[in-house]
Amino acid sequence: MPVISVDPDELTRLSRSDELELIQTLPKLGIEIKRTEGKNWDLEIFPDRCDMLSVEGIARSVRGYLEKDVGLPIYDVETSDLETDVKLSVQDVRPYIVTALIEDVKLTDALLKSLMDVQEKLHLTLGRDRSKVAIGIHDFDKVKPPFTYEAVMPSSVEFVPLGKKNKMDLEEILEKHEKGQEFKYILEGKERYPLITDSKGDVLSFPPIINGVLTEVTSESKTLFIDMTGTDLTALENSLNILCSLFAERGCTIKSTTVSYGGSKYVYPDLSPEVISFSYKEAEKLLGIELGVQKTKKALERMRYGTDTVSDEEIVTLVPPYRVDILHPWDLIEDIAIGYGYHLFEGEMPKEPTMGKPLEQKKLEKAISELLVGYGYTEVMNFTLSSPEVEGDMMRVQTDGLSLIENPVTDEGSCLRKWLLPSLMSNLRSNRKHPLPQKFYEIGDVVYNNLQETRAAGVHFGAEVGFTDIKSLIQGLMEGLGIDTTIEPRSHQSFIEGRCASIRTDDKEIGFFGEIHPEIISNFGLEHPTVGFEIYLERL
Amino acid sequence: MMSYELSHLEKKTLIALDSLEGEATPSEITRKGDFDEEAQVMNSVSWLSSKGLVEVEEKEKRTYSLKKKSIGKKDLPERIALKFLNKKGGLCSISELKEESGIGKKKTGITLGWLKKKNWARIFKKDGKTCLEITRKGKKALREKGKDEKLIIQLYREGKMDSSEVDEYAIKNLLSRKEIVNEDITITRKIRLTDEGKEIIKKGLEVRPEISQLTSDIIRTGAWEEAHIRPYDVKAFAPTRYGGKRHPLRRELEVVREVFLEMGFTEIKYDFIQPAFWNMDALFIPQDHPARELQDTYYMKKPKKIKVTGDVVDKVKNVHENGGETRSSGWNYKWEKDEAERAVLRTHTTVTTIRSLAENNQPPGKYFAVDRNFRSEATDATHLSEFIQIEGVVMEKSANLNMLIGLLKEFYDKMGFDDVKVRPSYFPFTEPSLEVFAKYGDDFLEMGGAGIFREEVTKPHGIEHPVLAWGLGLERLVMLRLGIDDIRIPYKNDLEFLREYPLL
Repeated sequence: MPVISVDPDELTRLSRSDELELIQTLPKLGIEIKRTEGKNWDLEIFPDRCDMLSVEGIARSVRGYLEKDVGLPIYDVETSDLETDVKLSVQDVRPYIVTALIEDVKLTDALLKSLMDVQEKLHLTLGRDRSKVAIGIHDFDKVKPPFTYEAVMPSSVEFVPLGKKNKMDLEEILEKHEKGQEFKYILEGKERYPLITDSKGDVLSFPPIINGVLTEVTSESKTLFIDMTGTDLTALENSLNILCSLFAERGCTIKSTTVSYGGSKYVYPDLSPEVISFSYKEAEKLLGIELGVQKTKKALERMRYGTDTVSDEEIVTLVPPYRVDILHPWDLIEDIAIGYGYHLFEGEMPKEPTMGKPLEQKKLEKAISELLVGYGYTEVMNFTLSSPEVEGDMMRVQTDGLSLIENPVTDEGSCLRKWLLPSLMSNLRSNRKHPLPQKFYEIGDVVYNNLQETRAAGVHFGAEVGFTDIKSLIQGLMEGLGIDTTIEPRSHQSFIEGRCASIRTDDKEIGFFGEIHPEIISNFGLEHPTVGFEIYLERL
Repeated sequence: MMSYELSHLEKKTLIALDSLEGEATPSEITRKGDFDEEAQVMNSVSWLSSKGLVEVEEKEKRTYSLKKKSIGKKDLPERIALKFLNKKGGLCSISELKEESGIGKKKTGITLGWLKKKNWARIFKKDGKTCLEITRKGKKALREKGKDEKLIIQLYREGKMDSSEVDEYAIKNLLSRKEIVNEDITITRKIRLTDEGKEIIKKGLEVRPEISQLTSDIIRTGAWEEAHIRPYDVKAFAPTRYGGKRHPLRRELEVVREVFLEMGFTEIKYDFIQPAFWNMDALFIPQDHPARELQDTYYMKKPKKIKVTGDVVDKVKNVHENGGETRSSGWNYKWEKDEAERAVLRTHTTVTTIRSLAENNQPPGKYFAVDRNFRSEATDATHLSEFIQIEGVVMEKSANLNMLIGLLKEFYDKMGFDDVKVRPSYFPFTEPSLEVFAKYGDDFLEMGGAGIFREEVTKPHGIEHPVLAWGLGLERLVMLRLGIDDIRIPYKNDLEFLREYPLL
């Protein structure tokens, strides 16, 4: 989950609350205070609440919850004649752009920090690391509209990118600029690269990589131009709404701009609210509390929604433009619960009776455990993740039938185990320093030929251990389970030839046991005789 | 009067001592009391004396004898020298003594020392030669042997002599010469009944045979009825013995299962390897969600794909693209079936619950699973790449958030956490969502997540009623219970840890 660090003084000022109020309120809004240290509070925000990735956004929510400002925040948008012309060439590269103009900007240190933070976090979340959304913020007074968004040949344009002193062409930026190296994967395989230029041909931005130094934002900047380019128009509009509402919270003037796709014109930003209406009774039913219209509305207003009623039941909810996480009426109902207060729910029990029922197989597992513990076996629980080396090579068997992982974190966890005995041999190895004899068993799932099944296995290890020990155990175990079995000779690479047996019922093998091959004992760094068994529980 | 717990041997010792007039040596007691060996007597005597029933008087006895019998027949070297000196007229040189007297070169030095010590001769220099001259005492000694010499003769005759029989000066003198006499020191003990001991005997002692190791013979013959079974020192050392035991994760898992079964839940199980469809798509996790990336999810190389079929595929596709039959706006992107068919190791048990609900979509339904999950992240003290998750779901007509909170309180109470708080939270597949905090010691600890499945999750499977769901990690519970701070410990399966962790 994203964590942002905010200055508590700035947060108290913007939220018009004291620190104590903040400490009590933030968790109720679902914001976890990870760390408070002087002028830095680390706050963890839910990944869907991108509108709270800034101190301004958090303050807006806090003011609502504490009823200092309730209802829908109104953000006026004035019109401007700024236009960006989108050329067809971007269609296969990075098809969409949205823009906005921000005036009356006073770029204080606090606002500047907030802008950098929110830009970075939006890139990561909604922007999916700039692939879906890349944001550029420019000093508008340095360039001359109208602007053009097009895709150009990489070596056809040169400009000075942010952080560098000399002109570079687009290919050079991808190869040599830090941001180029970091994000060039997004443009991989593209013949042309996206570019935003002004009427004189000066470069504003080479999205999603880097802006030009020309429009670099400084504390002197008064008017800002915002561009967002990407592959997902909804994500772009959402990101733009979040960023514009942040400026509006700071008292800046938001002006609309036009994006023209070959004559089709679209106006951004649109900061008008979305409308969702639903019956308060649905909220009552889903939450299990009595609210009535008034309490429902009040809870919504605290969460910064506008509300209205059109009938006795139906509540018309105006969703602020920055609440891009609202997909469904239940998203609003959750906010009603938060606005009402999770701590006020008293709890009730289910009304429809049901009978508890364990998995059939658990009875068998329990019986086997009970018997083996009685025989002095200690239960172990090992990871299912294993390696072909342990599953096959070290056990003198083939590595066939293994389910392999495409992206393992370690070699030791690159497949799923296909049987249990290798894990138990590993347990003996890691317990070498402890007194002998040792007896371990495990009941667990294995995957062989992509089929998952539950097995039980055990090992007995010590200086005087032999075949009779394991045969006696298996006889006692089978008798204890009440299963009629016969024991037949069997050959198995992991056991000494002539000292391995199959446990059979009627016509099928339900398990095998024997004296482990000395080569395997050595492979696991051990020096004493070992006997073991493995049983297929699902065949019993 | 104190009461005493007396062993069989102690009683026998007292009785034997009494019949020896209350005073005897250990060997006398051994004979009288018919003990197997004197050590038994000595052992009981030490116990009896610590109880104040007998006193032990220890006496030291020294006896002397000649080291070799031949010593008694020979003169001491200084007498040989004295006789030689006398023969030489009372004066001779050292070299004459050395060469002619017969005492030998080696002993000359010692002999000179004794001559001087006994004052039998005077030593002086004359014309560059060292000379000896007999003294008056020496002349006298020619007539009468010294006490030490007499003692040698006596020892020769007697063989052994007690310290009381020998001249103290003479024996000291001989002992200082190392090669002549042996001294044997023996300690003799006298055991004597104290008044208290006499009292006890007077009151009468019941003597029965004593049993140390109970044998089948003793039981079969009933010999134990006549015998006394010797009490042991229960504080004496004995090694700890360990038997078989279940694993701590298993024990906790069984506790959780019992709680769910008691609450009317049905246990369910599905495979580790799942198509991404059930692990993510069916749970309304968009296909470009960060959780689906390689650093969070294990994708399989073998099997690479698992086919998904049926109406439900289209329904899920529609929900993602535009909300489908729900009132949701959906995620507004193009959903790919290919991506949904990639085989993954399931990342959460929610796969299991949604699959079972899809198969049983009519209320009421209560299901639970406690099973393994996998995340492609590095293992450290707080993260595992493979872990066990507990998950429960309730589907019923009137299910709601308040009921979920009630269920959580009941569930955690049965798990031993009677103070539970909830707080808003976020999961992609639930709305509303919440986080559970349970009081443990003085703190509220994060103990799991919960929520109501989104309509986008339930509707494609024909589930028409709200589904309450919650989950938590099993390992964390075990860590709390056992007070361990490294999540890897239970999976290390260290024998010492497994033997010693307490069940309560």
